[in-house]
Amino acid sequence: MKYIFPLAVVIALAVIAWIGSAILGLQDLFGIVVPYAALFLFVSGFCWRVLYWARSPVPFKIPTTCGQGYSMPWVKRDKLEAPVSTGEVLGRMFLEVFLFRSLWRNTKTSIKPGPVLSYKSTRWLWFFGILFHYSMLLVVLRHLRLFLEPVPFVISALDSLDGVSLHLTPELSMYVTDALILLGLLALLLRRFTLRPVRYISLANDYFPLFLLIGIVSSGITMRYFLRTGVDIVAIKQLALGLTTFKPVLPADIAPIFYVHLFLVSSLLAYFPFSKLMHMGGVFLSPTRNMANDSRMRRYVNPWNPDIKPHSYASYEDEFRADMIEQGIPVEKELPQG
Amino acid sequence: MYDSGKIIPGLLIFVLLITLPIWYNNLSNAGQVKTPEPPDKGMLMGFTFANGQEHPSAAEMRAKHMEHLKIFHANAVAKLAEQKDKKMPTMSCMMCHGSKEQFCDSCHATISEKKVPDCWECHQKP
Repeated sequence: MKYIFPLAVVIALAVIAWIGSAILGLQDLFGIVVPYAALFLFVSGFCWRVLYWARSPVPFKIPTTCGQGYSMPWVKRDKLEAPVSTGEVLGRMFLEVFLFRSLWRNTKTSIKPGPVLSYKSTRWLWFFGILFHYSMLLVVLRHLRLFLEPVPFVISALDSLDGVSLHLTPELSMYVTDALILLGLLALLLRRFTLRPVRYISLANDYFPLFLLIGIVSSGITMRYFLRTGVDIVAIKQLALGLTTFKPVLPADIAPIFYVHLFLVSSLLAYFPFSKLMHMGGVFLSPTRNMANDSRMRRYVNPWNPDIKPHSYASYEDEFRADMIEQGIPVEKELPQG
Repeated sequence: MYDSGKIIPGLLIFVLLITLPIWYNNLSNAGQVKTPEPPDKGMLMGFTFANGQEHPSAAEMRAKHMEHLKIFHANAVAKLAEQKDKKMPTMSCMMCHGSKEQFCDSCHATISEKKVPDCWECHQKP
């Protein structure tokens, strides 16, 4: 039942934007003020969060190793699972950031008749995760055609690559990623609904981003393919360019569905730095991934160790010589005469 | 702060990427945003086609011009099949709406809309 509240919040956000733009006539609020505020919150919140993490000391060398570490030359070692050099760490990080490598090893534990305990690798989470994240990346890059003037060649090329253009029925032409992102999101949501252990640990803040993204994607798809009336894309580009050049102009008569889409995106941006979505920056700052497993080669000093000065016996005796002689303790050097 | 030599440049690159539209647009055209001129309102008001059908409103044309063009095209093809002399009909949109550059490309280029059917592979550009 933990999904009821986040679902209600997303629906409420959509309704607020619809009522605000269609009935109350608050287009300038939803079209100009809210996007600016959301972008400000996103950028400043993101930087604050990363700098907050950067200020936290890591007391120990704590890379997670899941393979044979560096030992004797004849022992075959696992360079990616127990990296010892910066290059190997970079390789591990690259595969983690771009291919979500650790999800590849997501295992499912089960007891088979016998009884035999078995660990089976389940890659559905990895598959739908990849599907969602790369579709999201392409969708965001495609949207740059509405934000950049002139449109760079790369963006328009991406746009044509992503689109299935049907010659005879142009109205059925669609973007591949529009379908894939929805498929990925629905599968990730279904995973939280159907797998009992996952459902048990799912919280409201796990469901909220999923519902919010589904809301954004479905409002975008609705706007592009179904409720086209009043969605003048040239006017929308005018609004976007006005926002980016800090001379906002609000074209009249943009349909409420556009403001719903924009408000949900603004909500996502504003919510981003304060949520689990910060794994976008956090993946780079995970000590268990970005540290080298070289604690037996290089000394790692805890950054909060107190600064203890060495205190030799000679300096100790210099400090207490008079007292030591008085107490009859033998000393190496007598008190200076006179 | 720890590892500031790596974190600060990384964060800086991220912020530059996120704010790409802001500095790109301000550098590329110094805030001068070119928008296509809206079609002449007088042209659309109360215009009726030869068959007595009224011209749809500008908003509807912007949203659904492809659907209208498709119906238009299908009708024209059907009419051509019935015709005895097989004389190609001329595209009537362009009779009022000027050139392809002004009437099609101005919007399609602005938003870099690539999903256009290949009208101009058969029809001559006016």
